[in-house]
Amino acid sequence: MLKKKLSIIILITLFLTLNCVPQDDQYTKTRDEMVSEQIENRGITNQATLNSMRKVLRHKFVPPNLVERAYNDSPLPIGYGQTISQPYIVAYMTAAINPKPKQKVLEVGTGSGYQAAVLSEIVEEIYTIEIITELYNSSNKRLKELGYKNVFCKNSDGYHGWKEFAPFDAIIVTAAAEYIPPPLIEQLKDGGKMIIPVGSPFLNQTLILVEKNGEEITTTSLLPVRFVPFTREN
Amino acid sequence: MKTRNVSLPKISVSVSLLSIAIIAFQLSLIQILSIVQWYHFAYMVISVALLGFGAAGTTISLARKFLIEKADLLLPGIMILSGLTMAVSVSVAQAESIRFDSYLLFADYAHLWKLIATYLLFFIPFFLGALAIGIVFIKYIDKIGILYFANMLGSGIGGVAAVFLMWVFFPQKLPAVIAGIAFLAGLIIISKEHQTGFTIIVSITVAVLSFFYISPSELKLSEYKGLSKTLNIPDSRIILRESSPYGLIHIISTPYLRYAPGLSIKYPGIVSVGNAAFNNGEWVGPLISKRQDSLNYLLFTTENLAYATGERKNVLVLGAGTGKQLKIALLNVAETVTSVESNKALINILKDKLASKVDSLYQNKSVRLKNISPRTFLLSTHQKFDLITLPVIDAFGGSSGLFALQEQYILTTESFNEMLNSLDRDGVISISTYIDYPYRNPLKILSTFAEAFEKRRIENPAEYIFAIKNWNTITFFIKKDPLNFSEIESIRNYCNRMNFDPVLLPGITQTERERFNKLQDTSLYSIFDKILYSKKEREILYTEYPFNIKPSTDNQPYFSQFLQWRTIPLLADLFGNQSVPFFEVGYLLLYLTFIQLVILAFLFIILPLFKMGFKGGGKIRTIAYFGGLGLGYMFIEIILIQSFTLYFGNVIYAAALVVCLMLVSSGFGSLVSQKITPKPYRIIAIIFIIIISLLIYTLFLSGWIKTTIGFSLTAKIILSFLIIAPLAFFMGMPFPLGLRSLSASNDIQVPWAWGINGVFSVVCAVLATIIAVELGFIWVMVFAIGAYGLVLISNLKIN
Repeated sequence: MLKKKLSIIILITLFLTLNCVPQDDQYTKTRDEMVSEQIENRGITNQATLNSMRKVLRHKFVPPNLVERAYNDSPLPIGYGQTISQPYIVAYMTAAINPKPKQKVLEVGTGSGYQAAVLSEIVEEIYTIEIITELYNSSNKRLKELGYKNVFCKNSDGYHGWKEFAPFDAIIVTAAAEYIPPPLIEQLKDGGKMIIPVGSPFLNQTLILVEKNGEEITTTSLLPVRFVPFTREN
Repeated sequence: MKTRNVSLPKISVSVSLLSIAIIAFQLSLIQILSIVQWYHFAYMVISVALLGFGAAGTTISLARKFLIEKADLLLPGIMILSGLTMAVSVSVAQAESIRFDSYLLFADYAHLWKLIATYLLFFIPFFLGALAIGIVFIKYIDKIGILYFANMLGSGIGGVAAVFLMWVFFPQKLPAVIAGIAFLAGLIIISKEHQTGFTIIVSITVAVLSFFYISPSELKLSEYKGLSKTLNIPDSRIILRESSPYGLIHIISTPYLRYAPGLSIKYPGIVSVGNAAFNNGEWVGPLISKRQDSLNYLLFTTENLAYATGERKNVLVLGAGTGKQLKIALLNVAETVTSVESNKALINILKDKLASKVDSLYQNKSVRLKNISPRTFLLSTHQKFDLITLPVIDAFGGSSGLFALQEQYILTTESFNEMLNSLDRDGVISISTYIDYPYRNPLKILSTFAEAFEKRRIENPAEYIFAIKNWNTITFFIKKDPLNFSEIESIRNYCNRMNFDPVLLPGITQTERERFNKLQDTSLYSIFDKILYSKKEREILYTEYPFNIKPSTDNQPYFSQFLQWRTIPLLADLFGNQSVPFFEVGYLLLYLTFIQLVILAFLFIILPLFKMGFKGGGKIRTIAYFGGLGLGYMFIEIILIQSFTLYFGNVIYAAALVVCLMLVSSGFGSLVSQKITPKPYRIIAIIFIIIISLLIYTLFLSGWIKTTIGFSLTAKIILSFLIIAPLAFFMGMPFPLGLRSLSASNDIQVPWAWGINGVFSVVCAVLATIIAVELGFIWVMVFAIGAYGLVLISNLKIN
């Protein structure tokens, strides 16, 4: 009888253990390859960024019909004219703000929620704003389901930032902008960094790094990061 | 064989109506494809579709006997079907399974198939229309002079009719309206004996055309167009749509759109949210709000420096658009603002339809509106200005290379020189551009000014030019006189106040250029210095830099054409193979279109030879004669449209006038030719007159245009008639004379010759653009003379 009970317990434990093992095993290798080939090979060395990119399940952030292409070296459409950025851009932008534990970061343009997830593995709190209601709903739900408890979402116009939780150590803008919104500069901590892409979202984008040191604000125009348009499958 | 039931006048009217429909459909299709995709994709699709003329010639060559014998029955049917497919094809092209997206062509091969399907779809109405005209020409070859006149007259009217219809109907309704004209062409030639049989066809056609007029498919824009992206923003909505030959204007109300290129990072306030205008789905500009306080940000821009360095009472705004520059001038209390904007439809919206919602700057008493192209204004004005401003170069949000083949006469060295002439003492020219990467636009602007100064024999242009930048925009200022000390100080103070960096300034240091806004690639500054300080280094740079940064000229007015064939492998190495097309889609598409056309044209010319035999019968002469006429006619048409666009300051009306005058005059030439016996020496004399006229044009046309550009509109129209009509009259003769001559000597070749002429005309339209881009317009004229030379030689052989 005891043997039978023990067998049942072992079976249940085994079942639970198997269920606890992430179902993405098939993508772990792909993810590692993505990091080494697409990101490290292109010169990104920020370890926190690389580790986080290895960890976050990118395929959970793309539409079901594009899961197989989730780790490709390209952006993918997520609907409403928006994209989940190419892995390299996510890594480049993350590394550019040099995120550290205990930091508070604001993201403008949640999109799929992938960038927020990558940052949440490194910093203490992420505040993310999405203007398109449908994307806000889906990314908020997704981030909760995946257990990202330090990510806080808001459905609003990112231009005004998130005053209640300002100032931020860093701000990452993931939607192409025409100029740097003044409220975001105000909400950036002294010594803080902001990265913002300029240019057409489907062609070449130039990333601009904004640094605030006291009253002095400087920008650095970094090199363009993408020239390849995404392909759509629907 | 003559028809018993259809009279020659009736068939002539029918040919005219069908010709009206074909030309009007071609123009409406260009407009529709420019709205849903981009102009150059429209150009590519239409060019291939127009080969329907060549295919019709081939078909008649292969099935001549059947088509001529059954002409009474077939002709009305083909014409009606041509109309029917005009209406249906546009709606079908909007279906998801066929609709291609320009940007995905290079990345997703499924879109290539969709493109081919689109080609076929639009090929059908042109093919059917051309087939009907071809059958008429062959059947009544002895009356070809009259029928060719009817064809030319109809085509000429068609061009003008299309412009008129575009003011009246929305683009999606237009195909059904035009289809009605083609339907009418078929209807009037239904013979009595076939009337009963046609009743059902006519009824169905009326029902279908009515349906597509009442409920046409909505035009679905590429999701990559600015309008599509803006409408994705929550609560964005279309508040006004206005159709005109200038394009389809959309006014969008969007609660989150903010636009402020060149803004200072020091600006403390909120940038106002406003409505925006789009033309053919592409960004035009923000509408200026009535709330004055919300516009203060305009005083914190790089462009505002012009007002910080001197008093600007008399301002000229070239390409005023939605009026942002007008507002800056008025905020800076300019006394007179001369506003030059060619888009009449946009002006009407701002002045009248939205007058209650936006700040109608065009109604301001200080603003003087000139509804003309900026370059034409510069050529015709004698006024002097304290400040001349140009719109920001490059599209909102980045360069896509789609304007590579757009003629931009305002950005040529000649134009920059005229701007300098129009400046008062201490006046300044202001021009802004995004800092693109790899660097292109800022370099070409500077090289253009450097060469404009060189033409004025000014040895050190660096003393006359200054530029400042924020994080993504650079604004150049060009003075007529050297900068003085107090101006240099004002510029430095302004930059310090606004967190801008001076980039070009007498006595500038490298540190100053990088104080607030750094560039990771600082080569921009050294290239600037090479352009400005040494002619020799500038020349070397032109040959060594991966992009074409040589100034554009009136002869080659393609400012946005940067790609060079020799550096494509280098760019592919640097940015990846897939990236190259996106540097300059328009330029590459031009060649792609040409290759496609040459392959198809070759097929259409070769195919009939399998029936006629490859040897004997003077086939080379036929190709040379009719091909040469096709080439020569189109080359001249394109040169005249280009010249008269500058003359009238409006591309649409200039094109309509030139096409109409040319075709109608040629039509009369054809009519007169009916009375001439087609002897080779007579044809040689006519060709000789044409070649001599072209030589005179080459020498005097440009000067004549610049001399008389300031004349009244009526005088200009009369002068245009005097210039175009006599030449076009003679140009209308060789084709019908040649066909009649061929009919007498080698009748079997007549449809083939007609097809060759059509094919060469289509190929020529693309070839002319390639020649203009690579060599300049003067060479298009040389090629036109060469083409008529070929026709002359082919006749000498006959003689």
